[in-house]
Amino acid sequence: MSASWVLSDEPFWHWGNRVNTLRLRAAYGASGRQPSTFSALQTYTAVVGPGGANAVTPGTLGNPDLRPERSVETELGFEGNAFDRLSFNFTYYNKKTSNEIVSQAVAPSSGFSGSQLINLGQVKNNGVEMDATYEAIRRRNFSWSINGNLTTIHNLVQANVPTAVSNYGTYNIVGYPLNGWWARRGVSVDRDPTTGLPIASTVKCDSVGKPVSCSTAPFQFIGASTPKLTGAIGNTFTIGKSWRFFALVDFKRGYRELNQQELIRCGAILGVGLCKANYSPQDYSSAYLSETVGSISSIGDVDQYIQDASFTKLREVSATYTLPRRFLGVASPMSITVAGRELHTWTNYRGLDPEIATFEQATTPPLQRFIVTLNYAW
Amino acid sequence: MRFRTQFIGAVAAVIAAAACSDLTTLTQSNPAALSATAVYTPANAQLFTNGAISDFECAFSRYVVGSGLLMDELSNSFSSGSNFDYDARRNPTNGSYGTGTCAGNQQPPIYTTLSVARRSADTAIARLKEFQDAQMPAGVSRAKLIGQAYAYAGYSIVLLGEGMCSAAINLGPELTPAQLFAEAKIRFDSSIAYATAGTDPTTVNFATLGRARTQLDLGNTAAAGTDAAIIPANFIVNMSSDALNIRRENYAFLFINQNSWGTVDASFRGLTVNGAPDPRVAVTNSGKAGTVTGTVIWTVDKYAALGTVMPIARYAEAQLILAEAKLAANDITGATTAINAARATHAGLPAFSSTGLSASDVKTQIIEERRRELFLEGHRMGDMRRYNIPLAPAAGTAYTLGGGLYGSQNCFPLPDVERINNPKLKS
Repeated sequence: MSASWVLSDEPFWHWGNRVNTLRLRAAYGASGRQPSTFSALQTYTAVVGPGGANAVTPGTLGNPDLRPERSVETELGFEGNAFDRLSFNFTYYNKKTSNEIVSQAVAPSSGFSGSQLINLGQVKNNGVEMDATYEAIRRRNFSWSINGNLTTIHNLVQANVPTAVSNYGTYNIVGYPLNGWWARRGVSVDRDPTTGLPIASTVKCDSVGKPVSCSTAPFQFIGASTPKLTGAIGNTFTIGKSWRFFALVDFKRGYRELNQQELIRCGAILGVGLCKANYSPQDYSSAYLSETVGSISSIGDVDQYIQDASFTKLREVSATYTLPRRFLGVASPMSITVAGRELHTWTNYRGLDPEIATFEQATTPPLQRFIVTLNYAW
Repeated sequence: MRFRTQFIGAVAAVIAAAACSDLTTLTQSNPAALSATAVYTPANAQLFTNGAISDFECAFSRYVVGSGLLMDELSNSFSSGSNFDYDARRNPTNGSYGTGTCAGNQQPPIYTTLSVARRSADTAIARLKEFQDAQMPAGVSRAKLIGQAYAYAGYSIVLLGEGMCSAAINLGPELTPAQLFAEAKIRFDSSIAYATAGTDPTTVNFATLGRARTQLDLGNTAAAGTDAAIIPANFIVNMSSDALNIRRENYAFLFINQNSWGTVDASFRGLTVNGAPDPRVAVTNSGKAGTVTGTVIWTVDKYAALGTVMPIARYAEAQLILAEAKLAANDITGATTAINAARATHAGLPAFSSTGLSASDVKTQIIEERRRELFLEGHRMGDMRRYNIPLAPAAGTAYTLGGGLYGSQNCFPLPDVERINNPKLKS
C-alpha cells in the first residue's frame, strides 16, 4: 500500500522558483515466505541392517507447527528538483521480519541429528537511501555534472535460536548485527629473551579488561560483516560537442573481513615460514605476536585477522571523444573511449583486496585495467 | 490536498497478507523418505528392531575408535586440528564428537550416534509394546524383538556413561554417569525378562553380560560377578559388518589401515607375555607414514579387513569381570582361575600365576589383563575412569604432534548441540 503527495502542485506552494518539484512518498507492505516442502515431516531412511537385513534409521525430526515467516516494511521519502539543477531522492526504510524460519540444531538426545526449522528469528533492518545529481556548470561549451548516492544499513538480530559462540566466525547473536564477527582477543604474550619470539604458554586473552588464559576467555563481538555505509560519487565533464570526461569514486565503510591469507600465514596453520612476524618479532606488538603462536587459531584467538575492510576506490576515469559526423561522412556518430578502471584503493585492510576478502588466496582480485573502446551504432 | 492513493496495490497487499496467514497446513509427502506413521506398524516390527541394532552397530564401532583416540589405545597420525584435539584430550564442546553422524568419519562421532541408537531402540520398544502378539508377522516373536531392543538400548547407554562426562536421554535433564548406568541397568533387566519369555538365550546372555558391565561401572562388584559367572564359554556377540556399507564397515580398519588417520599407540606395541608376543595385542608396523610428520601407521591384526566383525560382548570379558568380583571377595585363587579362563581363549597364551602375589598385585594384573584382552573393543576409556588411571602424558605436557598442550579430558564433555537445544538444559 503506498501513497504520494505532490506538494509542489498544491496552491500554497510559493517556492516554485527554487524547489521546482517536490513529492512526498510513503509505503507500507507485508509479505510472507512459505516453509520449504517436507519441513513438517518426521522421516526415516532405509538402511542396511544387521546381517544385511532391511532396516530404518531416523532421518529428519520435522516440525508440524512450522508457519510462514512474515516481513513488514515501511518506507518514507521524498524526491524532487531544485533550482533547475539539482534532482534528489531520499528514502527511509524500516523492515521487520518476524517468525523468521531459522534452522535450529536438534539436541541429539532426541534421537535425531541435523536440524529442525522453527519460527523464531526476528531481524530488524533500517536505513536511508539517497541520491542526487547536481549540474554545477551548464554552459554552451562546458558542463560539469556531479552525481552521488549514499546508503546506510543498520540491521539487528532481535530474536534467534540460542547460539553459543564456540570458535571465531560470523554468528547471529541477539542484540548484535546480522552475521557479526566474533572471536577471542589476544592481548599479550611473553617474548623469548634470546630470540624475541613469543612463548606459547604465556599467551593471554582479554576477559572484560583482564588478561586470562585464552581457552577461558569469552568470545567478543569484533564487528559487522556487512557495510554500514556505502556510496559513490561520479563527476562528468563535457567540453564542446566532442569531449566527455568521467570519474567515479565509490566506498564502503563500517565492516570487517577475515584476512584469511594472513591468518593462514601467521596463525600457525602453515607453520612459521610464511609470516614476517616470525622473522622480525621485534617489529610487532605483543598483542599481535600472541596470535601467531601454536594452534591459537583453533581456539578462536584471531581478532587481529578480522580487519577493518572499509575502502574507497577510484573505480573509473575515462575520456570519450566523439568524432564529428562530417569527419567520417556517415550518418551516425562514432566515439572512442579510453578508460582506466580499479585505479587506486584507499584502505587499512592488510590483505590483497577488501572486496575479495576471506577467500582471497583462491580468488582473483579486481585487476587494474585500461580499456580502449570504439563505439559506432547504425 | 490531492492524494494519489494506490488502491490496487493496497488491495493486493491485504490479500497477500491474508493468504500467507493461512499457509500453515503442510500435507506434502516425500517419496525419498519414510514417514513415522508408515514405519511403525506391526508389519514392520522386525524392520525397526533391525534399525535399532543397525544404529547401535554404527555408533559402537565409532565409539571404539573415538574413545581409543582420546585415551591411550590409538594415537593421531592425521594432520587435522580436530583430530589433534581428540589425541591431545582437548576437544572443544562444539567438536565433531558431539555432532558427527554415521555419515561422517574423519573425526569419530560419539554422542549423536549413541543417542540415535538409544532412541531407535527405546522407540522400537515403545511401539512393540503397543502391538499385540497376534499382529506380528509369521515367525516373528514380539517378546524376542523387545528383548533385543532393550539390550541394545542398554549398551547404548552404558557407552554414553563410560564415554561421556554427562549426557541426556530423550531431551531430559543432564545425567551423571551413575544415573546413566542406572538407566542402562533398567533396560538390561527388562531385556533379560523379555528375552527369557521369547526363548532367546543369546540375548539373555548378551543382556546379562551388559548388566554385569553396568554393575561394575556402578561399583556393585559382587552383583557384576554373579551375572558374569553365568556367561557360557565361547559366548560372543559381534557387530555384524560388511565391507561395502559405510555404516557397517569395520571402522577401526577404515580409520587406521585404509585412511591412515590413526595408529596404534606406542604403549600397545610390542607387548609380550613371558617374552613371547602377546596375541591379544598383535599389531603390525605397516611402514606407511601418516600425514603428521614422523608418524608411522601401526595396524591392529585382529581387524584385518573392512568386513571384519568387532566384538561387543564376549566370554573373556565376563571372566575378567568375574575375576574382579572374586578379588573383591578376597578370593585370589578364584580371581586367578577367571583370569586364566580368559587367557585360555587364546591359543598359546601361558597361564597366569598369582603365587606369592598380594591382592593389590592381582588387581594390577586384572587391569593389565583387561587392557590387553579388550584392546580396541570399547572398554579402555571406562576402565581408565573407573580405575582412576593417570593420563599419560599428563595434562599440560607439550603436544608435539600438533602443537599446544595436552588437555585433561578423560571423557567427552556434553556437547554444545545438546546443551543449547535441549529445553531442559537451557540456562
